[in-house]
Amino acid sequence: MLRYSLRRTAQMVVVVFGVVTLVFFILRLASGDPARMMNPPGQQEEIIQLTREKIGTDRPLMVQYWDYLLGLPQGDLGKSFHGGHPVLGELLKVFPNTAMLAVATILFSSTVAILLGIGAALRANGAFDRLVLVYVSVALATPSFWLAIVLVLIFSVHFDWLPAIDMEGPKSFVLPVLTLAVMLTPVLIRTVRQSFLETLSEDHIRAARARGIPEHRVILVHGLKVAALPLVTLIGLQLGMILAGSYVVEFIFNWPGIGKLTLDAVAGRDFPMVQGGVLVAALAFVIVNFVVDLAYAALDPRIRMSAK
Amino acid sequence: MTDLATAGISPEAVAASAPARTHILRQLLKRRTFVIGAAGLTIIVLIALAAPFLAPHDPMTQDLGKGLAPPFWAKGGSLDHPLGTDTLGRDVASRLMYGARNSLVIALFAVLIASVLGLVAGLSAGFSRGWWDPLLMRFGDVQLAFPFILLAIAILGVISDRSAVHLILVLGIPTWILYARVVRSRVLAERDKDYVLGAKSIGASRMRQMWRYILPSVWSAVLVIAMLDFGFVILLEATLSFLGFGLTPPTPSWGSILAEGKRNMIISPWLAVLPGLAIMLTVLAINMTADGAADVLDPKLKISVFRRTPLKKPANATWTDLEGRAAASTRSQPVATKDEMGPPTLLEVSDLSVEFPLPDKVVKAVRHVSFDVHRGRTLGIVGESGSGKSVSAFSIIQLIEPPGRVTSGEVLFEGRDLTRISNYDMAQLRGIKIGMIFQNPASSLNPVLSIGSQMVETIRLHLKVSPAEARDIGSQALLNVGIGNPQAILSRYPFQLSGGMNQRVMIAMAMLTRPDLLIADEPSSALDVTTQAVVLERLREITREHQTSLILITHDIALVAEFADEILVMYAGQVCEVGPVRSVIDDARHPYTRALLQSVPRAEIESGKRLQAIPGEPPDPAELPPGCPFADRCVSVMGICRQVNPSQVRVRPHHDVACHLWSSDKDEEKV
Amino acid sequence: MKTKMKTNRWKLLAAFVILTLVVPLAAACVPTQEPEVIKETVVVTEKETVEVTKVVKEEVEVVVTPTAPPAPEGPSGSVRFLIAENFWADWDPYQHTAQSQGRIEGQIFDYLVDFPDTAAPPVPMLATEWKPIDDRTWEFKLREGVKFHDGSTFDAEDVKASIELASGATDKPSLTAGDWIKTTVEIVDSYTVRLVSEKPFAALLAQLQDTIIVSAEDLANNAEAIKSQPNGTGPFRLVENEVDRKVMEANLDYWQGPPQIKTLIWEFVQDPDTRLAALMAGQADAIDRVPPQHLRVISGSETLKLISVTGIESVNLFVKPGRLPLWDENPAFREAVVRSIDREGLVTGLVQGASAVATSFLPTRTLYHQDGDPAYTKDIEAAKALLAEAGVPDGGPEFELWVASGFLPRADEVGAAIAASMQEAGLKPKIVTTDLGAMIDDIFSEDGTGAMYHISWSSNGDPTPHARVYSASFAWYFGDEELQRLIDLVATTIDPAAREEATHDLQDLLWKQLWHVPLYNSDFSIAHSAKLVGLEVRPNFKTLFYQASITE
Repeated sequence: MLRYSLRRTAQMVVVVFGVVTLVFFILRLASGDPARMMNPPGQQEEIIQLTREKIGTDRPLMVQYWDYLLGLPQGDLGKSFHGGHPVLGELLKVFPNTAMLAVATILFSSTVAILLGIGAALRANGAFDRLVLVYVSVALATPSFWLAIVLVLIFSVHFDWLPAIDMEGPKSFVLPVLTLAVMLTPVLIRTVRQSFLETLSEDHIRAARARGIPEHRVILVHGLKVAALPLVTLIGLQLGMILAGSYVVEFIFNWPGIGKLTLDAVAGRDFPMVQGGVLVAALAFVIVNFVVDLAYAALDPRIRMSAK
Repeated sequence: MTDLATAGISPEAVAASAPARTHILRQLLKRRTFVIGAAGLTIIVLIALAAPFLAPHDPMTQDLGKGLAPPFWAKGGSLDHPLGTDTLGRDVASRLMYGARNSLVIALFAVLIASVLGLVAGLSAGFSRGWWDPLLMRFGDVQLAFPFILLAIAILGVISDRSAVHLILVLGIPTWILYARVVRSRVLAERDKDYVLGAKSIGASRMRQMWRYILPSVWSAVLVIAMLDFGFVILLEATLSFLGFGLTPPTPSWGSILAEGKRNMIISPWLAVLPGLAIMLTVLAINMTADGAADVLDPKLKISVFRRTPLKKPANATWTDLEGRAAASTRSQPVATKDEMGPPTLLEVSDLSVEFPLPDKVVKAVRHVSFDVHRGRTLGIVGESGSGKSVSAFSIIQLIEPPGRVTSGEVLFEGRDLTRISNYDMAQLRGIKIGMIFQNPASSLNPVLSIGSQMVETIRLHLKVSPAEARDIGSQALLNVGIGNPQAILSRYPFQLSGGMNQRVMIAMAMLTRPDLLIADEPSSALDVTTQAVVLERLREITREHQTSLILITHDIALVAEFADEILVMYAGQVCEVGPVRSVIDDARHPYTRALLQSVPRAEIESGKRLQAIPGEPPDPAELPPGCPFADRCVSVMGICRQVNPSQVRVRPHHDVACHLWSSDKDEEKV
Repeated sequence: MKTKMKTNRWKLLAAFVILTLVVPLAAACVPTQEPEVIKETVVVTEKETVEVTKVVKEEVEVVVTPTAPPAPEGPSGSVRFLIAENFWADWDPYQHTAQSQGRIEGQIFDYLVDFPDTAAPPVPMLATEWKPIDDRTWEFKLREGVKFHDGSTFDAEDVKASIELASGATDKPSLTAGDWIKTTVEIVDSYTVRLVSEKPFAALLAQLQDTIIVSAEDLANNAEAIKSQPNGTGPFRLVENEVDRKVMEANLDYWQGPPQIKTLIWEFVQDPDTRLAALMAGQADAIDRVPPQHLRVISGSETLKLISVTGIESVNLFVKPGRLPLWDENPAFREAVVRSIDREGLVTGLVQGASAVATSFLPTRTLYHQDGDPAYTKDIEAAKALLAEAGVPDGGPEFELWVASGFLPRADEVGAAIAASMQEAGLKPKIVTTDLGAMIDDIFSEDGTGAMYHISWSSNGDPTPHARVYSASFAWYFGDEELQRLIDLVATTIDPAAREEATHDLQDLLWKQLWHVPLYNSDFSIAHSAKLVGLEVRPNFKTLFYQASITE
């Protein structure tokens, strides 16, 4: 177990390092000059140069990179080009907001997916199953940003039941979580359903029935215990999807999270902030997946025993 | 599905049974989702192709005075612009049609690039024996961890003049990893096969062999993934356009029309709703097509959302109403309690038929089978795989999964017809009066629960005892089956025990309640020869000890000869021969039984005879011939054999045979 | 599976479903502390406050519209203003050119003088009187009794430190120096100063309206701290300084009396639809830069108000010298291009609001503005004739017209409309739509391919800061020495009559040469809730909350 953890940690570091480097260079090589963005178009060269000196882009590229790398282990993610705020501080401020959104979404989506997936699997090809699968197909085909706007138009502007923007109180979670859930649940439901169908058709389920174990126990204890294992890995998948979807959702709902911060930074060519946002997202993704893998190993005795 | 497997049909065989392409097409057309999806997609593609003819206006013509006109069904709309106009007065319907072309073409080429890249990457990773594979996969991990949207924005945001080519590259390249993984795993799986491992190096002919196996499995997977990816890319293009990084205007694409609509959503919502709908419907059609095709092309992928639908759905779960037999049963005697020594015939199976309706055919697994099981006696059911022996056994305790169902007959246990009782009542019998052990002991136990917890669960189901007491009972039961250290075993997991151990655990669990009847489905087939003997001995002891009737199902006639009191020989779902063991073994009448005896080495029967395998194969249970199913392989076949299915005839006391050879020679006492 | 199993399973299922649905619904129904939305306002007579009960759609609403001045209990209420531009900069004085930063600085700092009307003379602010001493020197009398937020007193030292730093007269370079002619400050006494410029500085007074006055003490000793903790003399003080959100509170000791709003929040929200949705849902009190497509909705609403002014902002197609040789060399070609565009259509059909067709290269509200002649209205036939005269009857070479999506209102559509219009005359524009950053990169890249760029330039109303953009210091200069001479002349001519004449000459030259394509002056629209009154919106984009109050 220890060796496995060490190996995975090393892999994680490599992956995150790769991501950070990729972002760093793509931004700078592809984007041109953020100093110009910060001044009216056509501004005099001297002013532009002053701006460059202020934000540090007048130095050679490799120097900037090296500086950045050196700062990372110390927790210094650089300073925002806009207004000099320390990047790490800003990220930490908004990170809990995205985290809360993610947790709420994962809880909600998982619950819905488990209920719908199991319900559909139990009566495969029944009316409920078909209904669920119709939902899955439609949800998969719906553009998330479009759905978000429609929801806002209906529930905030027209009916005034729910807030359109911001993160304030439980009501404000409803629409963003709903939008993200529509993105997530199709895949989850399919996986749950599939896993359950497979598990239910496994020999030991039949053998359990043969032993006289009542049906509800067969499904909820024997079935769920085995079918649940792949679901644990789904949490990692969900997080990845949420991180990807958070950019658009936070943008539309003005949710003060990492996604909005990063997207605003991209538009404004605030490189350190973009790098910071991507770093946090990559770290979160990689760490959660690692934890999930550990949990999977802990839950499945087959893996747990063989690791000893 | 395991029942299909027991019936001798593998899902792959079912799905990909046809060698010819046209058969695939026919199979595809049988699936409703595929048909609907493909039809929708075709319509959309046709509209896109025919845009120059269908579109009411030039998509680029502006009319600043008529900006944001509503669709014809809203106030202020006209049929001149049936779906309204955008801010510059351009016709929305026309722009949608032309936009369809752009969106579809971009997605198509993106998917092509992704699949080619993925294929190459997956193949190279799978075949590589060095650093390339891990490197590629790590790179894939990095890419997955990197938020794709940012990558797209970073690249596209920099390109000032975004043409379709740019979008195709940006959308196509990152999804290679989806294909690569599957391809790689298929290659690796093939590499693990014996014929490859056995070779010192992969020579040319072995390569060709590998290709023959890899290629079909790879291309079908890639095709299915590509179809799903297609829909995904369309959505992605729309998202990028929404964020401002799609095709540069004035080129229409659904995403850019939606982005423009979004900008004006509050005053002219239809401008956003319509392209959103178009995107939704298209992706839906694509997904439905992919789902339907996935089932046919590559069931191993298990991506299918819509499962195969049976042609006829059973009304409730397992049992159908039997026509004309509902009131016919006169054998409604009260159920004998355990303590009474009830009638000597414990189980009477009469005219049992079980079939599995599938989308394109009906598999008749069991046909009009009848047999009796007497109290305290062992019935051995012999047949090759696909003969219907296991299905018969399962159907006794209602373990047939839909779509399989019983279509005729009755199963009388202690006087009650088991085919008629409710599931609840059946559950009362299972595990208590009728027990069952299965072929593969390791997979018959829940892999994530310990032996102890599974035993305790079963025990506490039937007895009101505490967990500690249950463990004691369990220990005792394990000792009874010859397991020396029960405490240690209780805390182990099934995968930690040998096959023989597991099987003995199963026997112990099954015998806990001292059932009247124990069904053993190939209890030793998965074990090695020495363990086989031990397990079967144990089984015999226990059943003798508790006067338990045993149905022993096996393909090994030698086994049955040694352990059973009566033998039933099945072939292609039918009874060939049934009778007391000595009678059948020593004086086998049916050509099949004889052939079986000649093909198996056994000590009981004369040694020195040469072993003979039975040439040919059993018939397809979905397409059974009208006559005797054994006719094609029978050494004594006659003309009538191919036309009329022989019914059972008594040839000796309690010994019946279903064969035309005997039907006219002896007294006909139809059974 | 039947009966008992079914019941068990379905019961369980039902329980879970109910839980999942009920819990979030319950959460959503929990009442928040939002104030009730007043759905209707009722005009009341001048003298009395009347309570009117109206039954509308089964709701009983109580409406009170006080017209007496608000009771002097002190500032109350909180106002949330969603702005459209990033907060680019920190609070380091004079080290940025960001308009958003300039606008918010106006809440926290004061200026020496203020121009409520850019065409009229300025009014006193931190300066009470001023007079010219000679053509390079002005003398200002300063207001006494003004305090900075930290309690220190405002005096001549502060003016000296501020002006000299802003104009680039110290060792530390400032980004605002480009707008100044170097000026030093002589202290006559604690409340009298003389501003001495190197050359006659005609735009000095106008420039002063944009130059915040900071504390000399801070500049000397707290240079780092003031980058994040500004210390001004203005009506609001900064209490929270986040990347996208600035929170201010009323300065109770403000020399003009405290504002009526207690808390003022400025927040950056990029998406105009999000801004509007927030306003309509009551989550914001004012929103910035309302795009044309929302104007109708807001003016049609009874709970929202719209303020639209014609901004002092020229939106042109700026042409980069050297990218399109035919343009550089051929005036007939230039005029042909200008004549092919329907500028009126752009204004009424697309940009809307208070936007107006440009009649000069200086915006309409600029001092000494003059309408250009001819008006260059759209005339395709004339355009074609001019093209023939230019030697390119087929329309000439293909050129790229760059538009930054989302930067200026309806930029995409404007670009498309212009291109289509040009094509009618046979010209061959190729529209390139991208984001602002990419466009800026292309302008300055040596490999840039764009010829024309859809950009705006704004100023405070004085001709000099506006004309600068066409001068040699900027990228848009075609090398005409007469143009530079006139620009310099306008900058340094103090005598109003002479300056006016020079400014007219400048406009004549620009209008005749058409080095760039004039389009329109922008619409500047702010929308706010009816509960917010007293908001001051100026054509030079200043948005002032000092006089504003909010009713609950």
